[in-house]
Amino acid sequence: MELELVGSYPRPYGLNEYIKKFRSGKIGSEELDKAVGIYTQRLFGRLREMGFSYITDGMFRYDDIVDTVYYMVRGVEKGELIRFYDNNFYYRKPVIKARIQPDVEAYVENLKKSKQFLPKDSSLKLKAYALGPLSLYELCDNRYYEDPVEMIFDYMKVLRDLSARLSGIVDALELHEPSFFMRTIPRTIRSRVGEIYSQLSDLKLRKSLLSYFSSDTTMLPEFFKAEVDFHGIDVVSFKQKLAQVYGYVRSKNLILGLIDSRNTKLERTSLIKRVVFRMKEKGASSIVLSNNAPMDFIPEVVALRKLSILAKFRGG
Amino acid sequence: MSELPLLPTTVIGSYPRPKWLRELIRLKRAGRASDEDLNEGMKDAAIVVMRDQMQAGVDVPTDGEVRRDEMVEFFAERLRGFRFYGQVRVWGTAYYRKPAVIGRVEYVKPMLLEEFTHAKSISYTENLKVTITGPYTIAEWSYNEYYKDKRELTMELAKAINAEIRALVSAGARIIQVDEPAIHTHRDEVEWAVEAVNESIKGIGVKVVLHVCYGDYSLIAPYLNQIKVDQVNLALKNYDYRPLKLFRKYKWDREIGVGVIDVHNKRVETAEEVATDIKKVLDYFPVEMVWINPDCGLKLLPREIAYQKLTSMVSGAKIVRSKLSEMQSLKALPTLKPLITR
Repeated sequence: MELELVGSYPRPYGLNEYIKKFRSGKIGSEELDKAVGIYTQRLFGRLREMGFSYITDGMFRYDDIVDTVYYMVRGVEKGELIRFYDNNFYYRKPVIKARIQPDVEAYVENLKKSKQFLPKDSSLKLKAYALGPLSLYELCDNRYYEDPVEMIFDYMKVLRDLSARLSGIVDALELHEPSFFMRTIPRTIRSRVGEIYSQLSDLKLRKSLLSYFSSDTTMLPEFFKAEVDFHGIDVVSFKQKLAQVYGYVRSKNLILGLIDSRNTKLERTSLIKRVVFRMKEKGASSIVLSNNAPMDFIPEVVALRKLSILAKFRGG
Repeated sequence: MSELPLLPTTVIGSYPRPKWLRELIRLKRAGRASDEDLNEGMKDAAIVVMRDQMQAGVDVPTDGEVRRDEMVEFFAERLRGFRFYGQVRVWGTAYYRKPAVIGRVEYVKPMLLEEFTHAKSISYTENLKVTITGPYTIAEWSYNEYYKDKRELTMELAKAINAEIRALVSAGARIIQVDEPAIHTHRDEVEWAVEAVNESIKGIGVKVVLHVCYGDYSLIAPYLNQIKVDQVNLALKNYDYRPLKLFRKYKWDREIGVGVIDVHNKRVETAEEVATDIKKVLDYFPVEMVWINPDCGLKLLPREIAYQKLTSMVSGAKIVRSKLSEMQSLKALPTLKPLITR
């Protein structure tokens, strides 16, 4: 069984001190890069030991997944501090005041820096990460586009441009769509999900679509129709409704979010086994085990313990 | 009890710790200051904070919650059943120690008594407010590893908070504020969260205030009249007072504490701006039901800015008071007596 780290790994407190100093102008970018490098290298080492295959760099340079938007899109300003879904965690709302255009240089450079720390002799594969288009719609303050669908298609151009630039740097791109199953997404957008995601269908990177925090099953058909290589299911949120999910998994490659990134309670391996068994039984093509959401919501020590639980299943 | 003026001014609770106290806390953590040193520092800091509020002219002060690092952490450290695994980021580079419930929650001994008795001994007014984090917010901002569900945990916490409030009332507290900033997080939980708040204030015969801030007020507004508090105070400046319509729609007829100071912005509001804002509020609620406060705790602001903001808040309230006294005769002045029985 392959293992995958999805999204962020809790930013170590020690590294945060460097980030604080950098943001207040007390240290320069060189010193920050050095510190990020040390912690990134440590994370990669741990993930290799535990047997992970696809990983992110922990997203240490970004405050949250929404923060990545500011590193890849021109025409977006940082707005007010807003609660991130139903978490006691807050992000800066992107304010869109002009046409969205790609400006991915800073983001690509950051990933290049992370890649340097991948152990040379390992099979670890680095992933890029970005906010998905539906979630951007939900989380931003759009003051420019009259038609939000137009905004979404412009954002897809950014993601295409990004993907082209990432060739040779990363092996995969994961799209975070916590809003995918939210009922607040209007029908005009819902009805075009297939077309929206098809914008990325010809890209060579392995693409995964990750949804989390919601268990509304209404959008399950659209979710599994999206043209991506892997579909990421938040098993923790869907726990009571897995029977409905099983109906869609035949011939699909799945990333199963089996580790709860929002609670410190450790998972039982028996439950993980049961879900994996059922997914296989229902015809899933391949299964990768992962955390269910970015791991910012739990302390680092707990995140490590939880990832170690997944490690028990490597190669199994 | 001292008389209250029209439009009484108050704080939500927290106030910036003096720099020297922050340094003392750092020394204590590094093992270079004793418990005794820290306790003395905390007491002195409360005096300083109280003095700032007195100079600003705040009618109903607190001790600035100088002893509390964080509003959930403080109580989790003192109740049985919690443990801490480490720091968790809440936004940007800000972290807090989010507790985990690993066993049955039990009230061990009074948690705020020392803080309150000291505050009472140094307060410039009898109209002193004491704040306590509500059961739902403690549950929502903790990891639940023990209870079947969050509701069960919240109800257990409500009993503990009730015991603490009773202890405070026995020690002479006359205004209790229950802080529930998380109460409107999940639409499907608000109804029983309200039950939990009521359980936490059951049998309390002094004035009880509920503080709610930041988030979607439309989730809590329909349930507000079911909450057995005398006053609800809210962050409103941040939303340019738009939610006021909502509270009128649901016919809130008890006291309302109006946030007129943005605590996430270092720009200091002018007294005139505050006065203009208060007048807007008076289009919605009778003046004898309106209290004036910042949107939330002032802790994250530089102390100088926090002080200036309080000064503007009080001056703004005074401008409106003077105009009102010229214009109308009032039926009643604000009171510290409870408006309802619990």
